[in-house]
Amino acid sequence: MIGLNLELRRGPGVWMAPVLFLAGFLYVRSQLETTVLWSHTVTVVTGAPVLIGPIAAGVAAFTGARSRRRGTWQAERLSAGGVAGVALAEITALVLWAFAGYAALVAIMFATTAQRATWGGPAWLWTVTAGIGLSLHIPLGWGIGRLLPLRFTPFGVALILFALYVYVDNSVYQWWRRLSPAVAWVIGPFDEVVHLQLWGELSWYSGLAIAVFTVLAGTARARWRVIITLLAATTTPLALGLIMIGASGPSFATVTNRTVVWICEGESAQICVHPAFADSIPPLRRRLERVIYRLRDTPFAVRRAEHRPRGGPAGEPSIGAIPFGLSYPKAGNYDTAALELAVNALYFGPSCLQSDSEGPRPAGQDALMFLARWVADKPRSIMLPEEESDWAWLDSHSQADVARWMTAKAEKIRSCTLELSDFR
Amino acid sequence: MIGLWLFLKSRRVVALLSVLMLIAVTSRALGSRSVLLGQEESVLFPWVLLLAPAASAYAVAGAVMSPFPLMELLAARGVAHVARLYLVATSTIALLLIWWAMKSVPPPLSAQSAIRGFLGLLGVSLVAIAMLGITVAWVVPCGMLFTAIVMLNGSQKFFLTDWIVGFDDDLVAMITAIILLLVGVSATWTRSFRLRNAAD
Repeated sequence: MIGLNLELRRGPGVWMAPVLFLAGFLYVRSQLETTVLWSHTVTVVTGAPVLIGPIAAGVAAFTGARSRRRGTWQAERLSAGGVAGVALAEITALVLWAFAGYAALVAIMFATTAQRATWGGPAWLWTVTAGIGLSLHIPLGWGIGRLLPLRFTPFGVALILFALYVYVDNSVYQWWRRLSPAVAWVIGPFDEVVHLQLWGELSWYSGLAIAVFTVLAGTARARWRVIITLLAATTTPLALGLIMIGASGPSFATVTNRTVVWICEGESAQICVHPAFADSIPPLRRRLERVIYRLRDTPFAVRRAEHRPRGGPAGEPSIGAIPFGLSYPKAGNYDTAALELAVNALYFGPSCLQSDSEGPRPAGQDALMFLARWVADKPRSIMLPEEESDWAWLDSHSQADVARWMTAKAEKIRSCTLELSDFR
Repeated sequence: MIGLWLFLKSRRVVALLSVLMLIAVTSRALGSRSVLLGQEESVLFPWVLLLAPAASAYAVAGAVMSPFPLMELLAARGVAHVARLYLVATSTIALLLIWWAMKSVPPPLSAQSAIRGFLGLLGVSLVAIAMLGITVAWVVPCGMLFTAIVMLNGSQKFFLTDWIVGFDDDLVAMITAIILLLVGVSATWTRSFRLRNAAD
């Protein structure tokens, strides 16, 4: 306990915790759009290890390499707790400090959200799992530092790990994304995180942490009995974690709307949102009414615009309603919601939404997307000259003329055979 | 010549050049492979820009540190100005290698951004190493780089780090990087820099 006490008071964890807190705060500041949704706050806070994890691993690598660089590692053999005792004291102290920095971040963000939130509650298991994932960086970094006690090891560990997380963050549909100790998930108010997945992650992280000690024991020529015990302690939670993650289904979260009672506004055309988004109706109405206006008197008229989760059976709207997605209140998301409503109203059927991997892009997809963008008044940032002239052509006609044109082209729109040349 | 040879040996010039070459060859192999960052206006951010400038800058800044700072202070001939010339020479080599590695990367984030990132991060690394030592100072340039990427991904502005991820024609970013470089070079005259051991 003396070693742990010394490490806690004098070790690098003392300055690491404030650095992690500051970096975590910057991460939260860059990602947090609102505190009215618990799902959004938890999403952002649990994503913070993407930024602070590599820094924690770098500091741990520095700590692991410390005794070898300073030529004091022989003295570890003389300590009362033995070599393993010194390692455990260093790692435990850093884990406690890293967790303290994360806990301070969680406490501040949760306290702020608790005052303003209108929907949901804190997801404690997910929050703790992300914290354990952060803590895993400590033994990993420490182990690398002990095996490669070079001056630039901490820098390399931090940089490579961060690059890895950027890669993982971009691999949205890969199953192995769920094995990463730090991931920024996007969870909406309709979603519920699968708990079996989180238990699986906890088991997986435990296995990885023990794996570090197994490797170290192997390199330190420990007794076979110790190595075999550690190997068993490594493989069991790793395998258990993989089984649980595999059994938890294809997604990190499942969509649910069992308890949702929509809040609706409007008479001839209703706009219905999730109760957590009641404050979003005025800015949303401004965008959606433009879509409703441009599609009225056409076969694609919107009678009820319904806020729905994206994908899954729960994404199916009520009969006669046109769905749109909105993850959290934000100006850019309202614009995207309007575009989604336009796309869904024009009904991009399965034949039109065919992705690249399933074959060549349908001919009419570009023209339909262009029309949806015009309906939502959301042009592409860079338009081709042909698209600019088509946009001007649509703008130059009255609403009644455009409605007649869309009615005449309804079959082409539905069958995904509309072309840009049809806009003249 | 013996003095120069001993100096280069003490600064592990072969190891440094090997590392810079490795970074350049890896960067060249990565080419224009990019990662999509940003929520509202997405940016294709080249992997090279994430890895090469920071790694090269920290390697160059770290390599200039002396393993025998007290002995060098007592030397009959001043070693500090030789160290600064060494810094200029290795920086030039690193810049040429980064330019070579980034030749195939198209604008708006191309070799110009990488060179600007290298210059700024070199300045930041020199100041951080003077204050904290090589084994800990990485927290500052890495923290700045990581924050810049995260801020870009969140489509947010942050004046302390925006210069790292600015486009090629971002004049403010270039001026910021040059100022940071000048601050970093001036840190080599400080007592804490000259007394700092490379093993710290």
